[in-house]
Amino acid sequence: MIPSDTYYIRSPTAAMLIGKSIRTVHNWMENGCIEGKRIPYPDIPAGFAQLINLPSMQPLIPFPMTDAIMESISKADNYNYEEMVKVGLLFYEVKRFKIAADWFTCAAKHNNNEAMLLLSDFFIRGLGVKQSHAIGLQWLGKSSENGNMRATEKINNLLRLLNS
Amino acid sequence: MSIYDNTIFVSLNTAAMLTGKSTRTIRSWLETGIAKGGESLNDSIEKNLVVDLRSINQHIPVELTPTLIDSIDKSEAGISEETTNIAIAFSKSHADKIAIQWFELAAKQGNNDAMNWLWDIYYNGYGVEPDFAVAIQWLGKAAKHGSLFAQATVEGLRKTDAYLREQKKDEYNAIVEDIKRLVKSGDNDQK
Repeated sequence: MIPSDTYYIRSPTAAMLIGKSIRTVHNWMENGCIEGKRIPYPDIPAGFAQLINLPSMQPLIPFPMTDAIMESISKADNYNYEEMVKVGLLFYEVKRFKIAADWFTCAAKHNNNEAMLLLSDFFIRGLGVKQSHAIGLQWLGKSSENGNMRATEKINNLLRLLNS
Repeated sequence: MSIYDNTIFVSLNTAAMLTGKSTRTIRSWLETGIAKGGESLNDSIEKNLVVDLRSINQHIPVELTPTLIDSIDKSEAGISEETTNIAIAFSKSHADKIAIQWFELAAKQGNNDAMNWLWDIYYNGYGVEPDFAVAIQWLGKAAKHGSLFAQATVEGLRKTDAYLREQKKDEYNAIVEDIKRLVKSGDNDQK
């Protein structure tokens, strides 16, 4: 088992977890609110990247982060889109819809059809986003186009009833 | 005015879309003399091939009326309504595949009428296999771009959706259970 203090994530991921900007994450890191470290990163102009210590963020997260959850976030940080959906669902469970919507959007934009279906539902019900049936239907269609059977079924049901 | 009174040049892309061929085909037509045309003079940086509309007339499945020629001219200038008009002309002549290309171009230019047509085409399967997933996306786009007709349909779907939700509360709860199970599957992996 990896000791939990080795979970480090990139600052954009940290920003998504707390629903704030990356700048805020960096500020909070500088004033000690959350812990982090700098690693050399020659590919970007600053020359270094900030990594955030995930356990130190616990006070800002609305649910207890078990090792399994930190593992999940860590995988999401490494561009695992299924894990992103899971992280979004954690926020959905505690009714933090805006943060959940951000995670779903991120996964949906990388062709995760489950995230597309969830996002469609968020737009139709206006959870964490400005309610828009037009956008909700577009995500529903995209989800079906990307092979989500539940989305396909939902569309078929909707359109079947439209003509009756 | 008939098409034979004046020489009308269109771009390679337009020629390809009017005939339903690829630009490569049009290029080879120009090379072999099947189509007449040449390089446009007003663009010195890039070689801009143009095609004489008269020379490809017989390969275009609609009649090139003065109105249509006018539409082609304006569509090339980026006027999306005119692009839709071209698409409708092809649709009326049952050249559905070509019509779809023009509708898609008009939609890309932001014309909500074209988006509505595309919803109709994919929903009913005019010239294509019906594809509800694609259809519903066009409907959403049309509504978002201000088409009142699409907005009314979306409103109808909203009511249907609410009705289905009421009917299928149990199933919906099952989905919620599903979500909870998904959330917890992370924990299970660990055990």
